[in-house]
Amino acid sequence: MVKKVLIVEDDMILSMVNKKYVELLGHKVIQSVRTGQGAIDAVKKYNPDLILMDIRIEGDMDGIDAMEKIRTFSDVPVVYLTGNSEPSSKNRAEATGMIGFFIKPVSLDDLKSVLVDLKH
Amino acid sequence: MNRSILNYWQYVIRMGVHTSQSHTFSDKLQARNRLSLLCIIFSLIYFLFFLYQQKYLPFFAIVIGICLFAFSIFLNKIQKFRLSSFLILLNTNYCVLFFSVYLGFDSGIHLYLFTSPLIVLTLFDTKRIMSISIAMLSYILNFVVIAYINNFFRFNYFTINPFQQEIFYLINFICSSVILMGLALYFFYNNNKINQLLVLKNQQLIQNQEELQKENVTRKFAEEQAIKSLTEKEILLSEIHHRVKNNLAVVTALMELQTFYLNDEKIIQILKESQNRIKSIALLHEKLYENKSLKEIEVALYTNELIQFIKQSISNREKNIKIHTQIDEINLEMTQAMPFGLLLNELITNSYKYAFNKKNDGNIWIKLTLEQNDIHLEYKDDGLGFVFDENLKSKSLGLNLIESFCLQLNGKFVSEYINHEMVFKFNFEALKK
Repeated sequence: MVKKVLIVEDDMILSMVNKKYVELLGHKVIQSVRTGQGAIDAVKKYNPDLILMDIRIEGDMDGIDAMEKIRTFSDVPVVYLTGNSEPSSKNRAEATGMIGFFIKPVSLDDLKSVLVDLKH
Repeated sequence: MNRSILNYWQYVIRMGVHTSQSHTFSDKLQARNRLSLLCIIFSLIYFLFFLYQQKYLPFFAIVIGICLFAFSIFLNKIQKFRLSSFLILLNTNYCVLFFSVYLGFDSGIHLYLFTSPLIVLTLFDTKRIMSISIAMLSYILNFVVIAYINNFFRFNYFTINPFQQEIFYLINFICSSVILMGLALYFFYNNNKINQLLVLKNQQLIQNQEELQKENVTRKFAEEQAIKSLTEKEILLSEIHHRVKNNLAVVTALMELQTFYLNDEKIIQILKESQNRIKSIALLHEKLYENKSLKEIEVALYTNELIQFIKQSISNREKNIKIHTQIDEINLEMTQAMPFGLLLNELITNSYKYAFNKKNDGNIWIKLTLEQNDIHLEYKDDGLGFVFDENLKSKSLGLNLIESFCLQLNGKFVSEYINHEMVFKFNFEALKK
């Protein structure tokens, strides 16, 4: 079954690579956004099956802040893709009920493992 | 003339006084000399009287007394202060005892004993309780002896008539009063001086304390600023490593994107290898900003993660190749960590690409040891071996890079194929911190 994936990434090159990986794995990227507010709006609008969320993004809130707000109205699974491997960030991310936490650059295998888990 | 006498007076009372002495001690020394000089002057009255009366025994006795007082001043001059003090104590006791007995109790010689508490305080340091006690006891005993002799023996070596006795009493009363007042004034003046000095020192102390407090506040502020600045720099450096790592991630992502639009497997493979080289550097920056020191990395941690992503990126990973590591606890600085990481990347990639072409399983061993300041890296695999020569080097970028990275580490290496194992041995010196 094709999953709807939302990509939240402020770097467009990385966003493109992630999109390509998702498509290679046979799924569909419904939208790529660059801000936390954009992510909240996209979740409300498209109700995705998975969010690939960068932590350090454009705007007033980071990816984890945005996810905390999304959690008030949606249980959509989230995978954090971040350049920041600090334990404090990971602890905050875990509190939002993530299903994956990967340090950039993310490989095709990383995403594949997450999407396989999602099917189960 | 008067000025000359005054100068002599000053000269005598300053005998033994030295600039290196404390203020209090030099004052006390001058008071002692002044006391000895006054005793000499008062003794001269008796000297003249006995000379006039042609009484030679008391005359010589008073001469001895005068000489001893003069000698005590001399002792001060030659810095024998304690001896001088004891001599004055002895001499005053001796004079009072002798002349009280000789001239009779009613002549009033014993009146001098009432000045003894102040004399004792002039002669000895107030901290020397034992000396002061002995001195006071000697004066009290002297008084008791005089009173005893006067009541029970009544020697009449030299009898003076009642009129003379009254005159003597008057003279002794005046002289002892002068000594008493002089000494009292001295202590009063000295106490005032010490008090003023204490007030001054106290003010200086308060001023110093205030200055110290100000300095302390300034230093604390400077220290806080330095810590703040250092923290900011550390954050900045960490941020730089973070951004470099992210930028390198973008570079590898761009290369990754490129591979999606290529059909030639050989070119895709070349791009993947280049990506891995860049990822080795990116991983290094990641480890640097994760590390507290920001300038060195833990080699074991870095190597294990390096192995993981190389394994992930290799296309023939369906083969069962085990990588065994044995790495000492070593930290490497940026300048050595980068060529080391790239060297390892080339070695592992080389093994995966060529060593296990004809077999589905194999082993790679990575052993890193530190001996004193020398780092030894032993890398081997049980795949196909080769001879590392110029001919092969001309065809392989990987082998050229292995040699270059070893040179960059200021190291040396040897390679050999022995017992079905291809072995590389590298030696390089760890940078001194």
